[in-house]
Amino acid sequence: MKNLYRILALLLCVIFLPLTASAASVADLNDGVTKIALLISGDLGDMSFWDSANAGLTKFAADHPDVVVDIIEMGSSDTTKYESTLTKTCNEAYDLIIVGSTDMREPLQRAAKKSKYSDRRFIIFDTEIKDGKAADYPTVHSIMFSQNEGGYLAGTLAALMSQEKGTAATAFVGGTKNDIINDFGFGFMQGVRDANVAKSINVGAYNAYIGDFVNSPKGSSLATSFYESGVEVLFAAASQAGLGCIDSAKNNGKLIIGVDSDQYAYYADTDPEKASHIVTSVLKRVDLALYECCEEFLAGTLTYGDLEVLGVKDGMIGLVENDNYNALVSEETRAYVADVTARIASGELVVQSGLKRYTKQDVLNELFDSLDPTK
Amino acid sequence: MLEWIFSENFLVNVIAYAIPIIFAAYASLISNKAGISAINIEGAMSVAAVTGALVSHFANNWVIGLACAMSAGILMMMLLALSALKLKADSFLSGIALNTFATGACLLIVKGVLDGRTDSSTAPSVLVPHVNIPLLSDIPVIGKAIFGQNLLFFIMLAVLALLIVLLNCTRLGVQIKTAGYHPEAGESVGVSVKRTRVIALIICGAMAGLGGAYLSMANLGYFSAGMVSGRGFIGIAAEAMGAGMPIKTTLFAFLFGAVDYFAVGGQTVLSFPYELLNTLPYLMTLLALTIYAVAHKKKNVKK
Repeated sequence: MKNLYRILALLLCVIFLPLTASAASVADLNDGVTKIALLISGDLGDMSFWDSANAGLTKFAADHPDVVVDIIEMGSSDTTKYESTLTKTCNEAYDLIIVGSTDMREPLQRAAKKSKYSDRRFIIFDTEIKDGKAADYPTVHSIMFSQNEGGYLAGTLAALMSQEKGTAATAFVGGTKNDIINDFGFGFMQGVRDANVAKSINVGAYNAYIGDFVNSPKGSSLATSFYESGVEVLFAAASQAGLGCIDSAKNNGKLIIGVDSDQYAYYADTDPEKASHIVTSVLKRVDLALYECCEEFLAGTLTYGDLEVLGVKDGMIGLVENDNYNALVSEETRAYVADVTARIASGELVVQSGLKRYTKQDVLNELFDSLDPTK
Repeated sequence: MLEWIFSENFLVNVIAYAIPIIFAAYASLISNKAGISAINIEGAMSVAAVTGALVSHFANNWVIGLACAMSAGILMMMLLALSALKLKADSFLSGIALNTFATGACLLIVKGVLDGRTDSSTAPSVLVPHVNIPLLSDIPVIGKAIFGQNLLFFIMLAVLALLIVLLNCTRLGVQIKTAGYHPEAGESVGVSVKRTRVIALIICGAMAGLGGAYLSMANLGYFSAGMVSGRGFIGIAAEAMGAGMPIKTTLFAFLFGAVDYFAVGGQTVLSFPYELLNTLPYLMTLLALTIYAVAHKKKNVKK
């Protein structure tokens, strides 16, 4: 037994020694190869945000066989892994390192400040490296999406469809009350409010939150209680938990607006019955944004120390117009939504942001409450 | 608010919320009676949920799905039996390890079978049917909630009856209780404690399997990672509050389900901040366990 422990200890030393040795040194970038790493601080297979990022980079790798693209999945269960993985990635010879979501802000802030990584370039998407301080990080390019514009389009559509179907209210279901979801929700409520004014109608909008992004049974029952209280079409921005809402839409024979990727296309082959309840989805083209950034990086035109905000005008945010959308939505409503989209794109219509750095929580609450039939 | 609480809708939803918790509580009950704590009920439920969802889809049959979900629950409990009973490891630590294992195993299974997805919504489960008892289901308020429920609700009632009979009127029930209360006494009259505990864990696994299957084959039509969300643990708490009594346990589990649904459904009818509503189930658990501990202490002092 004692011998066994000795052998084990020896083996561990043999395995870990080279690792500790390599961790200390920073690889030289002048190796003649362009290497890009995408760190996924979540699980692939979510059929929205991360899969979209993955798809963008995978397509880029296919189009550029000379560039090495590595996608590193860090999982959602252990956030303590994020910083060590980032450090390890920085030590290797990656020319560009892409990270996403607010979880990666602080790890990247620390890494980008280290002088030994000053030749590395970084992209952080769906957040700014530090609120209003992108210029302090001269090696980081920040990308944010105007999901409020997507929410606005969904709100416009939901209000008009509710009116057509003769119901008094629509609803917004969010995952948690975080900045991004608030941005979606605030946009949605503005869409409903403005549609009410423009069409002289009076459609209310409930709001509710699941409390996390995984509890799909809870998402389903929340949606069910809305549908049972008379809602005909609702908008869910809750990642995986939101798929529970789609399940509820199918069971109750009601309609839902999906989020992030084309969720109609996701179900069209496997569960056409379910797909038929998805009016449209608010697209957030993470894939396209990352693809274009990588192109710019290769061409040497990507800028750093700045924040890029992508929205309807860039074709990064919008509603899916598929067969189901055309079949379920009246021509008049479609024309109205198309007009609103064009006005947002031209800058004529400005949707207020729901991010807390631009809009106070009180202002958000006030609009949410003014449309909420329970208040 | 009262109007909402006494509506048919409220009752239907509360029962839907309570069923998985009740099954988890039964699983905890039977294993605790035999003197082994199975805290991996949570993990067993999620493995059962993923098994039930996928098998029912590919076999296109809910009976096979349900059977496989129960088998998966039993399998997870047999892993506990292997480490805690055969290899004599600590049952708590083994349970924690098995819960962690289950989280990874479920993701692996879904990703493996469905080509890199973390939920099985593209492979919809074949649902366990609803049972509508004619006439009775037309009774206002309780009619739809009780007589128009999912089949698993009736299975739950049957399990409750069986549990009571098993524990009070059968030889096996006495053996299980002996294994829990006084294992040495059992051994002295030739009852193998280990064998009895394994049997109890088999029943426990089957219960956890039913709870998991309810989530992915009745409540929702698919499995998604994290869908059990602590329902197994809440079941264990309910059993602790019910002090091992089947009917009391059922009622406490039902209460937990009611509070859980109140926190969700409340958002749609009450003007209450959702953050506060979301703390209710946890506050409730805390409060209940405190009352339980105090009551227990008093009882012990009397002795």
